[in-house]
Amino acid sequence: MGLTDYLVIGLFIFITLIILVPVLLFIYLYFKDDRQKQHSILRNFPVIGKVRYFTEHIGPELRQYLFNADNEGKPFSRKEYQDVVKAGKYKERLIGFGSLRDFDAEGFYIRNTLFPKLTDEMKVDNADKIKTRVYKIDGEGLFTRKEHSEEKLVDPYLLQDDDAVVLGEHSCRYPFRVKGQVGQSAMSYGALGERAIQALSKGLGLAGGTWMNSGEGGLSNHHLVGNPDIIMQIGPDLFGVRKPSGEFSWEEFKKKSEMPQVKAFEIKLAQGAKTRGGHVEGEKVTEEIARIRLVEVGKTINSPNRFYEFSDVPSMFEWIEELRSVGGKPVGIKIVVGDMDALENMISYMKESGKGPDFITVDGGEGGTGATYQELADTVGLPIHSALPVVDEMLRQYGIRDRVKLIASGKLVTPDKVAIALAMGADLVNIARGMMISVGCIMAQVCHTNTCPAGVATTDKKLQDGLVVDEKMYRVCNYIVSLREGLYNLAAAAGLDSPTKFERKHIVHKDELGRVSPVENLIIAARRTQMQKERKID
Amino acid sequence: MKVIVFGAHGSVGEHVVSRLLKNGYKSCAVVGNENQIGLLKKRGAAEVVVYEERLLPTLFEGYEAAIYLTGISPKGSSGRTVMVDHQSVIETVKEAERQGVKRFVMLSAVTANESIGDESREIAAKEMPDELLRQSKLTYTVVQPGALTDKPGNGKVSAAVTLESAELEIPREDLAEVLVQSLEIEATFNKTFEVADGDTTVSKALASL
Repeated sequence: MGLTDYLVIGLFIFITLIILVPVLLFIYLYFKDDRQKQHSILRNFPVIGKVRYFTEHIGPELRQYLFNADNEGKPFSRKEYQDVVKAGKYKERLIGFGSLRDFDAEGFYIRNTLFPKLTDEMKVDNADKIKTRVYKIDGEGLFTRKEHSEEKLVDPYLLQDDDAVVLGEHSCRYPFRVKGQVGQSAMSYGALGERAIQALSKGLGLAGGTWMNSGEGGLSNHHLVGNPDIIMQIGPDLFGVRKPSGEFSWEEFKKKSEMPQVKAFEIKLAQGAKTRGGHVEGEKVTEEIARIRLVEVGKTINSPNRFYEFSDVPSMFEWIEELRSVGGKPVGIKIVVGDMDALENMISYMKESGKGPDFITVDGGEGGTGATYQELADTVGLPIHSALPVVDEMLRQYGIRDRVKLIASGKLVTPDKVAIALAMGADLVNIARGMMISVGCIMAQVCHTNTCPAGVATTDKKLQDGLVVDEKMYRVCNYIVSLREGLYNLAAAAGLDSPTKFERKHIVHKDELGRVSPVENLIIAARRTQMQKERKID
Repeated sequence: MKVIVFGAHGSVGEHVVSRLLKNGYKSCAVVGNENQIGLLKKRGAAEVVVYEERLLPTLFEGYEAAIYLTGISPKGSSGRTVMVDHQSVIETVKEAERQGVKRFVMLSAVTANESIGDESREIAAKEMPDELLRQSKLTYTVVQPGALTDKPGNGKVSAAVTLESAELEIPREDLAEVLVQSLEIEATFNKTFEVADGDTTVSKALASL
């Protein structure tokens, strides 16, 4: 046999293999699919049926990147996501060729005036510039984008001293004055990794005039690293302020209240996405987290639904009084509004007793979380636009609106959304997911699994390696400052010299047919619903 | 030396006021409206005056030097045009002469390099205040800066009658330092010069003019 023959035989074997291997694999898979008992589609359509499972698996990514329009996608659309990212990265919110909002859909609008305020008429405190970093695009090609980051001195857009919002002004030894209206909503260390918390802490500290809510997972050193003002949250499990046995520890509480960074405490009765106790997967409970929270390493934490410390309004108010007198700092509660009667009960008791919280955080049902059950996230609790005006009105009716500040939250990630909440009665606004996006969140929706690809909602060291604290901190700062700047833009357009002056009359709701109605309609409708409910029960 | 700053509420003015304090001067900030008083006080102005035309004859009383930031007319908030701006420069300069002000430092509306090869009327109009000042009896300094940026200043600049570079930039903080130091560095007296970022400290760059 010559060389040619060898080559021919070799080629023959090669071709046979190329054909034979896939055929054998196909036959193997065919019988495997046909005989398995789990999937009916695969039993009826072996192998080919796999296409369904494969495309279903990569569907979310395909939708997010390719097929969803800019205004589609939940919880946040591509557009909302990009608005947050660009504000943080470039500190730039200009758009071209007009809005992408669907103007036929229903929604809230801000009423502008014929004669807006001039920039130099605004009551803003820009005395201390912030030294931050922003990205500048040098050039953009189809596959490349050349950009660099540079230092920049920016205006902080703080409220002037006499406009500052004060929590516990008349009730506390140490009231909390805050000169900006936007801060970070409760996100625990443990739900987020240490790098995310550090980036947030440093960014918020740099921006100033804002606050960081520790979340119910206790106060860690990561929260303190950037020296921001902190509102420490206390959940039913009392993490960080409990004895090893699980009871409330006044000693620990006193220790926390003596820290200069801790400006206020928030008792978490409920949260928008979960009107139940928190949940942290065992994999996320590292040694450090266990130490901060005083729990067991590696064990899944399911917090109780309610505090053991109190069971009704009077006992809760007693506890608040005691916390305030021991700590000397403002104490608030975080609630989700569902039943107006329960709310009215509490507010009337506030009036009657002269006691109660210094601030109420109203979390809309659309609020986010690391982990919860679908049924609770989707359906329990009213969204912020229905809840907030009712709480505000009720406090006014009982004549105690000046005693308590309202903090609103629920997907309020851009200045216009914040302004609408302010007009509905909020004094301050909490943001969680906007903050997560500014430290790199890509909305992979796996916060409950410890596999966050952006290293944000994970305690996994390897995944967190992707998150560079000293780069992301500037994005957090820029995002907050952009929000405040945007609020001043909107206030000027509405003829106000400060965003603290937003009232109900400055916004209007437009329905699908173009009819506009004032916020008061929401309040009237809520009251009617409650009356109908009472009649049925009686 | 006590220094009066016109147009103090602008993006450069704020920095000028805080630099004056830092360099040991007492300053009076002239602003467009009441709302800006708090800001300038915080930045270190000993006194803040809201500009009104009738105040002009008394403004310079007790002040030996003035820093005038054009492009930011004291009448800015009344929304008048550039010609009125010129009018206010003329009035201010005349009043300064009358009151015997020793130093008058002006930030030009013309940026460095701008007038080269451009004979358009626009720049001619922008240059008019500079020319008016040069014709006065005051010991003047006219500073023509590169494009202003919000980068933090590093205290290093380059200064010359004409700077030779296509792209000139200067952080507002550094420009403020140049304006303030020009008050006393004799090399800048009766001169018009350009500044941009560079690698010489402000005092050296100005002294070598």
